[in-house]
Amino acid sequence: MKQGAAKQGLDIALEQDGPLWRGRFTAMASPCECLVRGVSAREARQLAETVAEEAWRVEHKYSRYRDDNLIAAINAGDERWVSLDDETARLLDFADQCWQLSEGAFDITSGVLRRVWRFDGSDRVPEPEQVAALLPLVGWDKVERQAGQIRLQKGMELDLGGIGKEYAVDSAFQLAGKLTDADLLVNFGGDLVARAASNPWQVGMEGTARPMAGQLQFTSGALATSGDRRRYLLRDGIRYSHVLDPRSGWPVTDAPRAVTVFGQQCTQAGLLSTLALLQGREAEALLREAGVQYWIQWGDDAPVTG
Amino acid sequence: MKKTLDRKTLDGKKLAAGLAAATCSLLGQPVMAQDTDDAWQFDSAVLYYSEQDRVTAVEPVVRGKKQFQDESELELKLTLDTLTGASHNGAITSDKPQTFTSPSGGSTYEVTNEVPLDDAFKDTRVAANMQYTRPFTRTLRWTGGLNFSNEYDFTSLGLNAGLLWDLNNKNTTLTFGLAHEADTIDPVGGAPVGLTFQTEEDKTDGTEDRSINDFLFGVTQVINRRWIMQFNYNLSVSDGYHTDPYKVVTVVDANGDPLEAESFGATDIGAGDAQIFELRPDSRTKNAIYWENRYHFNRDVLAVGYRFMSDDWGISSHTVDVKYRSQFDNGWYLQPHVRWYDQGEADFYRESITAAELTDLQNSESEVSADYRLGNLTDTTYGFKVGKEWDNNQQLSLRVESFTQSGDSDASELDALITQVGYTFYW
Repeated sequence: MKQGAAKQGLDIALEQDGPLWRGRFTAMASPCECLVRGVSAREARQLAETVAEEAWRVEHKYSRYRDDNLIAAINAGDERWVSLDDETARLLDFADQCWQLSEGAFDITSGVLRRVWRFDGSDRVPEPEQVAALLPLVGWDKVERQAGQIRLQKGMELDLGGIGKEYAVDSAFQLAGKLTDADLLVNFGGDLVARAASNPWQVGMEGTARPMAGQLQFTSGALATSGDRRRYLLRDGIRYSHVLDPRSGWPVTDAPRAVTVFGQQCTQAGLLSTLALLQGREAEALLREAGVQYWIQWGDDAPVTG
Repeated sequence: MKKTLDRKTLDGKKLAAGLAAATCSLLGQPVMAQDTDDAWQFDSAVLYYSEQDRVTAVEPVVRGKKQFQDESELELKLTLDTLTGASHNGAITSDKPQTFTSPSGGSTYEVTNEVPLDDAFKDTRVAANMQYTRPFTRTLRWTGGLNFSNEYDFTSLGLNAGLLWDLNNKNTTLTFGLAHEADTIDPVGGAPVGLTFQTEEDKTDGTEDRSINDFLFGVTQVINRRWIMQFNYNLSVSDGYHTDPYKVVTVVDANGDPLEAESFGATDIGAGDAQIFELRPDSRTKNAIYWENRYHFNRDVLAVGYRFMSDDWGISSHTVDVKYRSQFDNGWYLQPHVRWYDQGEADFYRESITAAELTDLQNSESEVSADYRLGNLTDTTYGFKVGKEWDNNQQLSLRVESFTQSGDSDASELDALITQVGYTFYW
């Protein structure tokens, strides 16, 4: 299955619609696209290739589903020091700052909780003892770091899934943006960043119930969405969101279905939407305070926007 | 069954600012404005200006700027100027000795074969500016400011008000401004009576005044994502005392040698003492246009500015200013700079005058000045600025420039070196 995904990933389909070029490919289990306006076919292909290669590079380097990358090496380290390259060190610094800013609500060591939590739409909620048994393996403060190196305690794991896709969007956008002055939009499965000289991009947002939850026009900025209408558990009328609070090991039960944030960078918007989701009922208050534009879908109704 | 956690313990505003900063360092970008929203931006700089054999100026400047939540902006600036050295007193350069009185009239000095300089030149200037800009409606902003400047013999008070109007999706901004300035000049030893001999010490008591009214109209136009253009028109009308109380004009014979004061019935204080105090008109109207283009390449920026000024003293000037900013990795930049300035002389500029011309001037009560700054003048400045910007918007820069001036007289020949160290930080 992994090989199949990789093979499929190497295809880029380039389509033209008037002055608009659309390069499509698959990465990180999501449909991805690179949109560019008013360039030649050769340039459009070059841009799409740049964007796709960056997506595949980040995916390859940071996917927790591979056993041949740095994340696998760190996770298999078992109390040994593992050397980091600059990019990974920067990502871990970022994760560290997010952990601090969120007071522990964002934690890249929380992936081990998925050993007992499977958000398949069923009612299989784990026993509290099962969750409690994993909690000693969660906690960014238990991770040791020194210049250029990292060491995990036995059984702990890093999972950059919470920032990897948004980071890939920003990084690919930066790379492509240096190659052209043209209007550009990079979209990896709904997390996107765009710029336009004057003619704004129009972006539609998927809804939980309706196909379209909202439409947004902007010339420069990023959108990121957290939440998933397919990944949840339902038992005794309680809908468990797939977002786990790393401090308790339990999902937020009264969280919104989806939170979309408009920001300057995709990484920043993605973190804000995740943290808002973790605030449960207080999601909107956090976003209002943060002073960003947002859309919150609580149920099957139209989103609350602000 | 599960631990309950306190929700909503996070401060959204802090979180957003912290995230913005963290994102920028992750992506290796300069931090955006939002995380410095609550901070004062301080620009500090020390300028060192040194003319060969003449004036040396040391000028520290601190500027603080803050943007508030309501999008208003306050800017405060404090400048301190220390000038020491010698300044040209207006007389010609001659191989015959010339004798001058000091501004206070208390002593005399003699100069031969050199540009006559007034050694007593020493000044400390303190200037403070305050400017506040605030949105009025979504597209209209107003601005108001106060200026104060003081030095030993000069005090200036100014106020200004303006409107900034954004049109065309903020791609066009129109600026209208009015400014008023009131100056008080209190020359050392009193203000001399123009066209009288320096030896007569005919000076007035008390102070002289000048008022200046300015009108400004400006258009800033975004041509495209990379190119921004600015056009300004400035009308300036000033009334009152414009004469430089420390400048004289040499009265010469047919050979161009300085005459003696006693041959005009004035007191003898030494050889070549026929120097009269200059006299300038009591009003000046200036018209100036300024045109600037800024072009952003992928990283580099080119700025080209042109200014034309013309006044009713007969002076017209052209200034061309070109800067190119080369942006390197890791926040370093290098900015070469070239400036060229050229002006034509004022109607009443004379390098020196003859006895007959003096009689004509005195009879018609006309103006005369030998200040080289009112004569034909060309100057060229070239140099560079090198700087480094850090992720937290701190910036350190060094500017080194060479200034060369030439004109009608020996006094106008001047070389100077300008160095400036600047530091920008947030607090």
